[in-house]
Amino acid sequence: MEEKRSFFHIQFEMLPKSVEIFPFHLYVYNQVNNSYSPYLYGNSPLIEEKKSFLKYIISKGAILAIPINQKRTFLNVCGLSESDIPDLARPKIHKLQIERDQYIKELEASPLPPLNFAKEINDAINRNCFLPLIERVRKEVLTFKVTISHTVSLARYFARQLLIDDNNINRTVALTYLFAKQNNIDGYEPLSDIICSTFLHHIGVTQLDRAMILRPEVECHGQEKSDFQKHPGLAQHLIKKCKLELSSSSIDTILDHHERSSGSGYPYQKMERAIHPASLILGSISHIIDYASGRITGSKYNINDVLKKIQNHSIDAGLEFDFGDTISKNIENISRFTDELKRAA
Amino acid sequence: MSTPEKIRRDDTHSKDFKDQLNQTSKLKLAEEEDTSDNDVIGPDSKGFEHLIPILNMYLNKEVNNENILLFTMKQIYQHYNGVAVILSYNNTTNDFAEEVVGHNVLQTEKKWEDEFNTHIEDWKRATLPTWSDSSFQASSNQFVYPFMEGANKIGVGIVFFYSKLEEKNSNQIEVLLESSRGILLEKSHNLGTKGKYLGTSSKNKKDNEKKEGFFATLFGKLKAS
Repeated sequence: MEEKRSFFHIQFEMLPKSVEIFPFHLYVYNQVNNSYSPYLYGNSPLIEEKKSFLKYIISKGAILAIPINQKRTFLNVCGLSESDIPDLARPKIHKLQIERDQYIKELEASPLPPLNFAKEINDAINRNCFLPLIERVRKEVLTFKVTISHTVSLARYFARQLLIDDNNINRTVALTYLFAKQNNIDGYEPLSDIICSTFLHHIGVTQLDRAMILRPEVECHGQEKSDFQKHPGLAQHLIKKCKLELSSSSIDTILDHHERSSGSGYPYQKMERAIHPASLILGSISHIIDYASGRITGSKYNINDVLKKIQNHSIDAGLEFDFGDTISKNIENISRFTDELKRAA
Repeated sequence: MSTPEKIRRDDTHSKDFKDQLNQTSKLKLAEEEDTSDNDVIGPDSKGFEHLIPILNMYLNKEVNNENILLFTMKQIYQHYNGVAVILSYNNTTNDFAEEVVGHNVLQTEKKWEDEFNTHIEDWKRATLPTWSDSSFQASSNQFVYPFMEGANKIGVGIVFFYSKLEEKNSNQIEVLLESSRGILLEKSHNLGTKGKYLGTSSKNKKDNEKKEGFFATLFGKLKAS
């Protein structure tokens, strides 16, 4: 936190030349030991010897300073205003802060309507267009504070640069973010961890044979399967190698996104409590999107059909996982809404 | 209907899930309140925002390898003004094959043939990423990034900078080039070579087992006699 300042710096030329006795104290700032020492107390004459010595120590790097509680007196006597003194000028507002303030203003002018989770996800699935959800997440993330941590700033940056079109990575980011919020994960840092880890969770596959990556996952066995299972570790390796500053919980989420509640996941076969909820959410959403896009079985599916299969505890290849009770409940809510829509039609 | 065991497990999970969430959220909110408004933290993405669109293409079956490499090359040119060349390497013939050559696509003044003939032997020898001017003070620079799979060379990425490059961008060039590894691995595996760290192929494994069996039998017999 920034300390409240006790002094402000001035230049020697700012002192009135016609006056020899000042109603304020003069201090000298020593840059070497970062300290302020009294040089001339108020109502004492600035005689020629003192003046020449002051000039000498200023030439050696000392800085003249006035106590902040005598600011008004100093300005009156010298006939100056705050803007004339560079040290009193307001610090420039960072462009990221200006940008954030602008987004907040825009959102205040036209606030986002409250999210009807099941309905809006259903609409996106049925129209096969996730752009409104992606755009919503982008707007929300752009209002995140820029003063918290590097991961939060990075999440904002990724959202601004990348959440602009409808593709599988952006779908996964938007759905994971909304699912996380639905499951009471809140606060800038936890949500930013999720945004960053979702963008980067599959980055490790660029380090593996592309022909193998494009083959349906259920057709990979033996060595190929074990190679594929290296991708969370490779993502972590790539992030560390490139010195990308990410929170440890974000890195853990990436590493654990294939862990499953039942202990059937990888790389560490973690179970239930040992897996962070964010990893379970990311793992389930990523798997649903991958399954629907055909990356798991080679056949494309409507996301609603995938959700239905999970809800019915289908034992189809590639869906034999336990995503955990809480995530299953969310999926159930969306599926129930779909059924209601169908009945209404 | 759920079995008693199922109910117990689900309840435990649900409670754990909520406990963990509450703890995390409380901790994070407390940290957020302590932060001053004045210290803006600018993001240093290390170029990952350029890698994510490449990943998107990478996972899309309809996009072929050539287009991904071309896109990578264009990203390097657009953001860092570097002319990238990616070559795959055939370990059997010790030859490079051109995958993407920035000089030809961008039609630069410098001719690819000249660069190739001047540096080919250096690229063959390279086993570590190298900058021709590691102080980043020179008016031109060249980054050579050999792609290795275990001890095998599978390719090399070279980025030519014909103007000064800032040192802070050097990591980002490496990140972008790294995205070509999967494609070079595919090429290398298609040529029948596979490095150690991804394990031996099932065919080689069988051969090794056979050899072990033969020697084991031989020494076994000698020992017995």
